[in-house]
Amino acid sequence: MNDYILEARKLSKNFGVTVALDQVTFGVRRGEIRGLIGENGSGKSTVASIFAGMQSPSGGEMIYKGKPWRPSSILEAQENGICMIVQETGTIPNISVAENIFLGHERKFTKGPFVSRRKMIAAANELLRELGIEGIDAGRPARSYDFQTRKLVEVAKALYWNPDVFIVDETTTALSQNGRQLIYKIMRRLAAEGKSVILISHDLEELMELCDTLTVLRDGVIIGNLEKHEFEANKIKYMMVGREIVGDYYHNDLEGYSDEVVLRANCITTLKDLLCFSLELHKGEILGIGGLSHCGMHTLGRALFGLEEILDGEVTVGPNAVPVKNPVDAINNGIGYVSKNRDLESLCLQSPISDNIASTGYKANRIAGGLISPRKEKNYIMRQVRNLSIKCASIYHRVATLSGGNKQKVAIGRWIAADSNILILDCPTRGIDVGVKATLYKLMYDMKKAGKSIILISEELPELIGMSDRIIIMKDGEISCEIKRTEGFSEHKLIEYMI
Amino acid sequence: MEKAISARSGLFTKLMSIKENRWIERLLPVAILAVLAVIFTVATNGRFATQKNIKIIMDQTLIVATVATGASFIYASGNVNIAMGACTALTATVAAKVYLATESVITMVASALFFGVFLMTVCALLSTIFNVRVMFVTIVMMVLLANIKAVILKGESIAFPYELISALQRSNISYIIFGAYFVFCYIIFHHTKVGRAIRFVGSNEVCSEQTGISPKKWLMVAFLISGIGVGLGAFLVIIRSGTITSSTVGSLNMDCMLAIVLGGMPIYGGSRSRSYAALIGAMTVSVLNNGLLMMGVDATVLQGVRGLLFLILVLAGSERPELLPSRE
Repeated sequence: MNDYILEARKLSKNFGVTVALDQVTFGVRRGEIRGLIGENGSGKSTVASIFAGMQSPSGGEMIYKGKPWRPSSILEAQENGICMIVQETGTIPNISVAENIFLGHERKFTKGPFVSRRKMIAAANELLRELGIEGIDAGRPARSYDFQTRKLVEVAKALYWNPDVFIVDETTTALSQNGRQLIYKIMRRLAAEGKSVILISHDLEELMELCDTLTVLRDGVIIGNLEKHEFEANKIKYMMVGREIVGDYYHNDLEGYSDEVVLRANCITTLKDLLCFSLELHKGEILGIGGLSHCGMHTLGRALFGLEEILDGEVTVGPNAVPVKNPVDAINNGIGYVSKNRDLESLCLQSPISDNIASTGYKANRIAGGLISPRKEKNYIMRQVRNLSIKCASIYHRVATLSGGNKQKVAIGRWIAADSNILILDCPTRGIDVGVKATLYKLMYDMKKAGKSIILISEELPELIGMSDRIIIMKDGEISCEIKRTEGFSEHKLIEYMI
Repeated sequence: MEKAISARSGLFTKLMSIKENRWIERLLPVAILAVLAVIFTVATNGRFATQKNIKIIMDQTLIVATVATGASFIYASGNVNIAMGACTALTATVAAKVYLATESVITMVASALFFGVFLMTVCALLSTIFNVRVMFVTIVMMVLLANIKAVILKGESIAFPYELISALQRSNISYIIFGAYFVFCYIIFHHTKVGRAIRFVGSNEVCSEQTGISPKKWLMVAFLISGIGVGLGAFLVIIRSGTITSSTVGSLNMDCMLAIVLGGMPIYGGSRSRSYAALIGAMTVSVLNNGLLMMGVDATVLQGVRGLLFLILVLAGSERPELLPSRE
């Protein structure tokens, strides 16, 4: 007799010819936090979403509380005590926070044929307060809050059901330190109450600290289950990718960069976040920008690419100080940008991989009479697919069918294909496994060596420290510190400047 | 139970893989057209497939195909223009008035082209300047243009000289005009930056903006190209009917929309859009109209059938939002 609350027995899932899960068998015990780890495309989210009623399995069975489990919808799973927070946005932007939290359960607040909005908002505010989530007015539309805050709304939405199994899919990387601490506290509390948590994350340190057990998946197959005393970082990485990835995949030289300034922000002020902000990016430099989520670093990335209206000051590029007023100016002067919100802003998910990559090469692939050469265009696309090892059955398949890491490769590959000299990467490794991370870090380093410049905006301090030649820490829209690699980075010191 | 669920899931997987297959997606509209033609031929004891009837179907196809081919640029950009019929009708009316004033076919064609492009430009400007969705702008335009046409016609009709229309019909100029416009649109749509950029805008406006592809600029280009289709379509209307009345091309708008979705183009545009969908769709619409009428279906019922078909196709072709997590 085991103490499993939820079990997968020979669970399989196919997407066309792609096998996402192949006879996966494992169980989640009562009162444990179980981590699921694996590369992008390993099947973690698939198995979790099957537990949570988001999709049905192709084969195998599930046992929940000792009975066969086959939820037909998310609502059914929620009502039976399995709730999940998904990786990407799971809120509806144009309805209120309260309506998001109680979506599908409005009947609780009906008076005759009418829904009492007042009662619903009051109940939502009460729930947020109980959970310690501050700064959200449940009556306001979800769209008025940023990505992180909307994630916290999803947490509240899931916890309203007092779940017996709480599934958190790659959510923590979207949260600030405070948000993370809050969700960690909630997970620990649930486990202490005898409930179970399934945590999907690429943050190995986080998993090793929080989880009681770890299940490692690779290519839809369980590679192993580890108990807490068996946790060992290099061993887990090896299990994940099937090859040795020893701890340090960052670069550790002190070669520095050229004195030539390639991009300059000259006392720029934007409608929100930035007030007279200045910076210089040099040729061959990786400039890290860090800070807490609301410090203005994401706005800075957009402003440098011409996506934010600049009220005062200017962004210029190159030795001739060509002004960047919009994305067209930026692109024409060799700048590329990958948004933090990859799925909504940096990719056309429903378009083929080919169209996404080719979108930056209309000019490059043109022949006489304005016609685009299919042969040149295919070469343009295939070069990126090969160089970045984008795992896809066909370049004509939709980007939506790719895993997170491969989607990110497409998003970055578009700019590499365009031979951009400056790349602005906003949280490029968010939700990406260690294998793809290592590939992207190598790519950035190779670009730096080739004289290209990168602005790396990140909420991950180890990443900034590992990759940057210089780090700017932002606080309240201003520079709170600037340190060069040669001066030595200290995580402790950087955090002090962030808070 | 297990087997039943596995079978259902297997069927879903198969359907998904069919949906992902671009050749099946391209050939399906042609297959539908062929099946309909066979059904109507059998149901009418061969009357449907006579040379004379095929010529009628082709003539009916031309106007819808011309206007819908131009409209496919607008649809590809993720917008729905429901004033294509009203624009064509008013353009034909204005061109007819120009002919009456000048008695010059060339001037009439030039004025039709100019006026078609002008009307489409007005629609595009209203949408881009005031940031109003194209559909809402074109609802207003549809009503407005229909009324302007009524004011111009004052309840009367404009008849062209029989000799002129007869000569134009005999010259096969309609086919030449459509053929030239179709080839022009095909090349622009599939082999130049214009078509690619417009489709990219239709796939994701935010991503387009961040790729340096301005949605407003390319929407304007889409309207300009479709304006040429409106102008040419108006001229073809004149050749075909020889008379402009208050009811001229009354069903063109619905026929265009139906043709676009029947041809296999997603109603919400994007990468999977194809310019030639309009031609295949227009032929299917003409086959459907002609076949059902030959089978004795009432004209009112026919309208209902077309509306229902449109609804089914839009529902079947629309993409569900990606609420599910990524495949990890």
